[in-house]
Amino acid sequence: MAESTAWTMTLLASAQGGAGMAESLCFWVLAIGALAGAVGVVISKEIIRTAMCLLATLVAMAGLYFLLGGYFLGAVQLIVYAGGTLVLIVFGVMLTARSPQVSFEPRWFEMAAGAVICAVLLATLLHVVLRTTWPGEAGDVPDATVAAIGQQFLGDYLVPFEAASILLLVVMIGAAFLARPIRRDRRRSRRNV
Amino acid sequence: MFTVTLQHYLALGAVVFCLGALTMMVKRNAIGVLIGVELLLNAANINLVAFNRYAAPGALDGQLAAIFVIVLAAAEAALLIAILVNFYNNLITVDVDQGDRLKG
Repeated sequence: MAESTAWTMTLLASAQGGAGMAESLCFWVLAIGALAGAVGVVISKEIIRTAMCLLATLVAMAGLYFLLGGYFLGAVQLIVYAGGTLVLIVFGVMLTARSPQVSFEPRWFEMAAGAVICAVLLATLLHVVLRTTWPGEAGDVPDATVAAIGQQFLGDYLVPFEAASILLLVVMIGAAFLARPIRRDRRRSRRNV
Repeated sequence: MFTVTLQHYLALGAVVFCLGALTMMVKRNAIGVLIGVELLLNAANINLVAFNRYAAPGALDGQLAAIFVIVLAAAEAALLIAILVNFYNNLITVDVDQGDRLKG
């Protein structure tokens, strides 16, 4: 625990130190971690390994958020994504684990078509990214990020904030309704029809 | 090379986005498709946060947008898992190619 805290502190210090060697080192390590996880998601055969590769990508992305000064956002990413969504995915894997042994291997033409489409998309995106002159220097983010975010939520972003809370309520009810257990008698009557 | 610029983050986001799209196209397991969507949303998020730092420092709009994206991603994952459980109850498989009952 103490080690990870010290590591986080060095990460924060390097992020605040500006364009330093440490920042670029952190960036490359985290970026390679994220890319390795994403490649693992594509090529892994078993679904639980895919989920673990996604976890690697999510944690590396959270590190990149820390590096970019989004401390609260990095924490939210770790708690909500790595702690919540990934557990949900693993629950989904467990609930549907007893599928009959069908092959989930992609067919070769699906693989080829997907690779071609994604290669074209990647080439286009990278062309745009590398040819455009972007605003250059990294500025400082506000110091008290959490307080500022809270004030923005209850100020300029009040309507989206409330809309998000209503959306979460609707999703909660909808998910509970969809995932309800089917009663035996109803299933039998449906079969008789 | 050694100073990290906005382009580095945008290029990383582009590569992760394409890998997520490839995951969505290639996986036949429905949970694999969901994982591909999560990759897409993360790639979009890294762009938002990077633009916040480099293009509009002093503001927090990019980070707020990223928080909303995370909220939507969690909601979407919960609903998709619920739909998936129904799919599995009806068809005893999670192969998305088997869900073709409405095919003409």
